[in-house]
Amino acid sequence: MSEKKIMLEARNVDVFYGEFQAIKNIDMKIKEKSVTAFIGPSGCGKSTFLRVLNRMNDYVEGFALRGEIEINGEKIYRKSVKVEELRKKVGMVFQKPNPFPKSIYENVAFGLKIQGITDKTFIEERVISSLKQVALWDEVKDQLKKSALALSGGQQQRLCIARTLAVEPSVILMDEPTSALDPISTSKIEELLHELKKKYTIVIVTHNMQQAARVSDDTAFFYMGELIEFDKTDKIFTNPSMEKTENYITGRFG
Amino acid sequence: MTQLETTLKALKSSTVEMITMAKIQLQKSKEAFLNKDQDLADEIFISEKHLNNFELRIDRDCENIFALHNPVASDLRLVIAILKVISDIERIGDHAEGIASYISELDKKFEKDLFAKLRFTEMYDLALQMLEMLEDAFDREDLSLARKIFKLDKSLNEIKLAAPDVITTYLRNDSEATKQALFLFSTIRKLERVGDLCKNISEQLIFYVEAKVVKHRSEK
Repeated sequence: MSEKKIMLEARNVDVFYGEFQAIKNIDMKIKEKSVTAFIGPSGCGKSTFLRVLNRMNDYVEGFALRGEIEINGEKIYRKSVKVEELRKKVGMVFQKPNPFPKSIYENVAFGLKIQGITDKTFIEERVISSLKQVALWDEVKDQLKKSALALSGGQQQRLCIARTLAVEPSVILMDEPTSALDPISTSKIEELLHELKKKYTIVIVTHNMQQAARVSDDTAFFYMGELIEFDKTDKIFTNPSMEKTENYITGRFG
Repeated sequence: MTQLETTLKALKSSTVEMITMAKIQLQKSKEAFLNKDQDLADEIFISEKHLNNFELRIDRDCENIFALHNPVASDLRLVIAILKVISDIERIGDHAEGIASYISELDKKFEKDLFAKLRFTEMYDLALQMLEMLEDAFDREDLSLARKIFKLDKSLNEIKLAAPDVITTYLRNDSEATKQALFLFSTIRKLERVGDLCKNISEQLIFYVEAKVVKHRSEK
C-alpha cells in the first residue's frame, strides 16, 4: 500500500500563555484520511495543541506560538491566512454538543449561508448529504424544521458534526466529542469516525484510552507539554517505546 | 498499587503455583515409575483433578481481567502469556498422569543397564530442573534463566532421538523386555514433550517481558 500523504505538519511548535509554556517543541506529521488520537493527563497540552490547529487560541490572553504548522501545504499562522477561510478547511467539534437555537435544517445550512451561498437546491443537497454522512438523516428527515435543541444529546452531537461536514473541510478536530454522551451515542459517533476517515482527516482528543484504541490509526501521547510518543495505535497500546507512555496507559502514572 | 496491578500480581503468583503443582506431579511420577508405586500413582490421579481445576480458575481470572480492566501494553501481554502458559502447564500435568497410568501395567522392575543406556533418570531430572527454573524465571521475570531452558530442551531432544537405537540393540539380546521397553520409550516421549512445553512457557515469558515473539525462531 502506498504511504498516505501528510495533511498536517507541525515543526518545532512552542506555545506560551504569558510566561507559561504549554507546548514544548512539538514535531508531528498527521496523515490524510486517518484518525489521530491525542491522549495524556489533564493539563498535558493535548487540547492546546488541537486548538492551535485551527487557531482557536489566537485571542487567548498571552497566547504566543513559535514554530510552524502546515495544513495541506499551507502555513496556517502566516499573516496572509484568513482565519475564517482556515476554519472552512479545519472544522471543530466540541466536548458538549452546541447546536444553534435554530431548526435542524438551519443548523446544517448555517456554515454555507454565512459563506454567502444562496442556491437553495445546493444548500438542500448539502444538508441532506451531511445528515446522511452522520447517520442522522433517517432519524430527522421528517422533522427538519424542528428545533435542534429538541434532539437528544447524541443526536445533537451528530448534528454538530453534520454542521462541520456541510462546508466540506479537509480536517475535523474533535475535542472529547463523546465525553458528555451515553455509551450508545458514543458508539454511534465512534462508528461514524470509521466512515468519516474515508474522506476526512480527523484528530481527536480523548480521555478515554479505550476510545483512542478503538477509533484511531495513530496515537500521540502528551505529557507536560511534550509529545512523548507518537506511533501507530496498535504499537502504543501493545508495546509502547517510552516508559512514560507505558505507565500512563496502564494507569501507573505518578 | 492499582487494583489491576494487585490482580495481576495475584494472577502471576497463581501461575507460579501451578508450575510448582505440575513439577510435584512430575516428581511423583518419577518416584512412582521407578519404584512401581501404585499408591503414589493414585495420588497423581487425584492431584491431576486439582491441577485441571486450577487451570479453569486462572482461565476465568484472565477472562475477568479482559472484561473488567481492559489491560494494555505489558499488562495485556502478561494476561495473554498466562492464558497460553496455563494450558501448557496443564498438559505437563497430563503427561505426569499418563506416566502414572503405566505403573499398573509394569510387571517387573526395569533393567538397570537399559536405564543407564537410555539416560532415563537424567532425562527426568532435566525435565524437573526445567520446571524448577521456570518457577524462578516466572517469579523473578528472569529471562536469562528462561533462555537456559531452551538449552536443556535440546538435551532432552537428543536423549529421545538416541532412545530407539538403544532400545533396538537392547531387545536383540533380551526380547522379553519388549513391553518394558515400550513403556520406557513412551515415557521418554512424554518427558521430551514436557521439555517442549517448558520451552513454550519460556517463550511466553519472553513475550511478556520483552514484547518479542520468539517461537518458531532459531534465534531466541
